[in-house]
Amino acid sequence: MNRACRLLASAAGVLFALAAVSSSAAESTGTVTGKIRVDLPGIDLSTLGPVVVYLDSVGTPVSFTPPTDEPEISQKGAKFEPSFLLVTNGQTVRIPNDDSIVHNAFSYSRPNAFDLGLYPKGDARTITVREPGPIRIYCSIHKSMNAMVFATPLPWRAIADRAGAFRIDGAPPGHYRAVMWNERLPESAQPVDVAAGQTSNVEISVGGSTR
Amino acid sequence: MKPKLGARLLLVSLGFLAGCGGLAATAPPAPRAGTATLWGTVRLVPHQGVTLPASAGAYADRALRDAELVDYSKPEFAVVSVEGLPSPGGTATLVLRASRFATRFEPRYAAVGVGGTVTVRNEDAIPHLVSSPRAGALVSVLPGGSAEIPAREPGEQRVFEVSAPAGGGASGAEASVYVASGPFAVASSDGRWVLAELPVPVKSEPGGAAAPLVLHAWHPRFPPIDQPLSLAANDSRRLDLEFQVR
Repeated sequence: MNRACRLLASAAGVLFALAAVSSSAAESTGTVTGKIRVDLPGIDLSTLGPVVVYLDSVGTPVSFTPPTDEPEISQKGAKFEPSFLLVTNGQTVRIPNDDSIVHNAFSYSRPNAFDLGLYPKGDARTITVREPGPIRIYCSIHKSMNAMVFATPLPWRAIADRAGAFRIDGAPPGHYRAVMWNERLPESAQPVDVAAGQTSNVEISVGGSTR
Repeated sequence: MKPKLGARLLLVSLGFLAGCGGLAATAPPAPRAGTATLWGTVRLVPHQGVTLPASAGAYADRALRDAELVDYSKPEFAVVSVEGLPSPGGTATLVLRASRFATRFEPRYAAVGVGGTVTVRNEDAIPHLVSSPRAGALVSVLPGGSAEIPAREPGEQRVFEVSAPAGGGASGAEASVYVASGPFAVASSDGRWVLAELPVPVKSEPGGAAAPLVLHAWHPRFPPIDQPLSLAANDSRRLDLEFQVR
């Protein structure tokens, strides 16, 4: 066998192994699909900003390793871009200054309050999320700079589409709450069981009344 | 007719004092016997070391000229409260109004005591959906009608108008209500505040300590201020507070 063939064979072996691992991971985890149902006519979910659905453990805590990638919120044109970021508790967020002027980033959302100080173009600072929940971020110089980071307790989450449908893959088997969060709506949740290799369906209702 | 020299000097002096941030808070009347009064000012202080431009128009980068700067010259809205004393409850009323272009709550900011109510009154000609996530409230308010949303927990309680906009785009108005755990005062637009006739806590036993009190100041955009507080009967004290990111 010449060198090219040996390389091709090795690559095929690696791909086969990766596929096997991926297939095995898919078989040992489950999927949650569903829909947000709004009981009050007149609400259009697509106009309310990001609608997040995440899994939260019930009873026994679920162990996980926070993602190691560092998503960014850039300071550009005296705005935070993106103005909304979904992360996992424990994850680090990078906030670079991509403007030609000095900026600041701070939050007083407890217990994730921080102040990154003043920093110039080209500099970047980071925050590591310590507790799940919403973190509102501001610049102390520019009123137009507002952003929101929402940290989920576990890494299994999704942003619902315009019709309120969502799909969460890769969750370990167990009992969870599927929680709907949106900045402008009351939080709502439904219990859901995740089984290995199975897809569970859940409908989360957002209720209301007329006065 | 031009003002006389003396009047002009007075105007210049007042302008200078305002420019220096020398807000002259006037002492309120002495407290009623057995109570205490706290009063003073709140002001916004820029980050240490920052030189703010006069306006965003001063930026060389044209892309930044529309940026809106934080106005440190006046607090716009702030609440000063005493934690550890009974809440006065009460009602904060938000009126929902609409123009051809947008809906809005008036006022944009308000305050109420824990146990009180946020009343939303719809003065538009069509029903509006109103939510307050912290209170778990989502209600449809008919024209001329109102909704009462409980203010159960201390802290910021935001209220949103969440009806689907007729012309598409993002949903509209929002307001913030600060829910104070104890007696509170809303600062005037230039930052003066008075907490008059506060009840002085009674010590639980002779020689014992009264429940600890905290003076808490809240602003919609700046980190809150907390400082321990002791109150004595007939006390009238000035406290000037500074909101600053640090």
